[in-house]
Amino acid sequence: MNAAHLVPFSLALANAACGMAVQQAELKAKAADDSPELGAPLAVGGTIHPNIRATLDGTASPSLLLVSGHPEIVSAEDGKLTGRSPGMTAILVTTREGVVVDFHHLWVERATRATLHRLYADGREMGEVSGHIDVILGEPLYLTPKLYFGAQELAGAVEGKWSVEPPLVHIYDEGVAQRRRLVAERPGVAVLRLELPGAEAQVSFRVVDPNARKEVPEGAT
Amino acid sequence: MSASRAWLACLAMVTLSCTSYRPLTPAPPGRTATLDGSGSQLRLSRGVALAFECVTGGGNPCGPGQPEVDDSKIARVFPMHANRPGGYATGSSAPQRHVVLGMSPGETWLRIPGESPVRVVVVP
Repeated sequence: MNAAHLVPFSLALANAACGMAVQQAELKAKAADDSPELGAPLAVGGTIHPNIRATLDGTASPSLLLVSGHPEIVSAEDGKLTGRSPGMTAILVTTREGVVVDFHHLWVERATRATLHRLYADGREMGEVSGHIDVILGEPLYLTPKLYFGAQELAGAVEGKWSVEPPLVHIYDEGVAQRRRLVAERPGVAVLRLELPGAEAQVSFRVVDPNARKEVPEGAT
Repeated sequence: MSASRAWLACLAMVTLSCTSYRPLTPAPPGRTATLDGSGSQLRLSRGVALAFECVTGGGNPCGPGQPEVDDSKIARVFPMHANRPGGYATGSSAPQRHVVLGMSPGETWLRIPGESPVRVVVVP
C-alpha cells in the first residue's frame, strides 16, 4: 500500500461530499482539472489532484494523507490519484500516524468513447464539437476532450496523442491538463485525431483564409 | 482455583462472549461489507473498507489496544478517529472505532486485545 501526498488542510466547515463514508472529510477534484467531482469513476490513465477538507469537531485538521487500498487500481502519489486499471478500491484519508479520518470508494473504468469540446480563451466551455469546424486562418481554437463510460462522464485528466493530417493546423500544449490551442497555418481541409486510452475522438477542419475571400470579384455570390 | 478466581474467569468468558461489533458504513453498490448478527464474522469484498466499532457487553468501549489481522495480505485494519461518538448508557468514553480493508480473497482473523476475535472473509 502506498502512502501518498501530504495535503494541506482547508479550515472550513463543509457538508460531506462525494459519498465520504463517515462524513468527516470532503474529497473533491480541483476545478482546474475540469473534471467532475469524485462522484464519477476515474478514467484509466486519468489523474486528479484532489482537495481534502477535514471537518472535525473541536480541532483543526491534522496533516492528512491519501492512501490507496489497491495501488494497482488507483495509485496515490505526490498528491495525485491516477486510475491504473478497471476496478474499485477504497481511498483512505489518514493522519501521518495512520489513523483513518474518512474513506471513499473509487471506481476506475476504461473509457468507451471520447468527445471534443471547444473552450473560450478563458477556459469556459463553449460546447461539444459535432464533427466539423470552420477555422479562420491564424485564429486560435481551444479544445479539450471528455471521456465517457457509456453515458457517464469519467473523472480525471487524461493525456492523449493529438495529431492533424494533413498538418494545416499547429497544436500547442497550453500547459493545462488536456487543453490544447490550435492555430491554423494554411487553408484547406484537415482531420484532427485524439487517441486516448480506450477511446478516440476526431473532428474535421476547414481552414478559411479571410484575405482570400476579400479577393472574390464584386458581384460574385 | 479459588472460588473467586473461578467467578472472575466465568465473568471474563461472559464478557468476551458479549463483545459487540457494529458496522458503521454500508457496502458500495454490488459489493459486500457485512458483520453477521453475532459479530463473529465479517465479510468484505476485495477493495472495500468497512468502519466498525467495538463495544463490550456492558456497553463500554472495547479495550484501547490496537487490533491486528493475522494475515495482512487478506485484510488490513486501521484505527479510526470518531468525530461524534455516540451516547452510551454506561460507557464514559468514546467507543473504539476501526476500519478494516479487504485486500485479497481469503479468510483470516481480526483480533482486538481482550475481546473475542472476528473471522474475516474477503470475497472477490
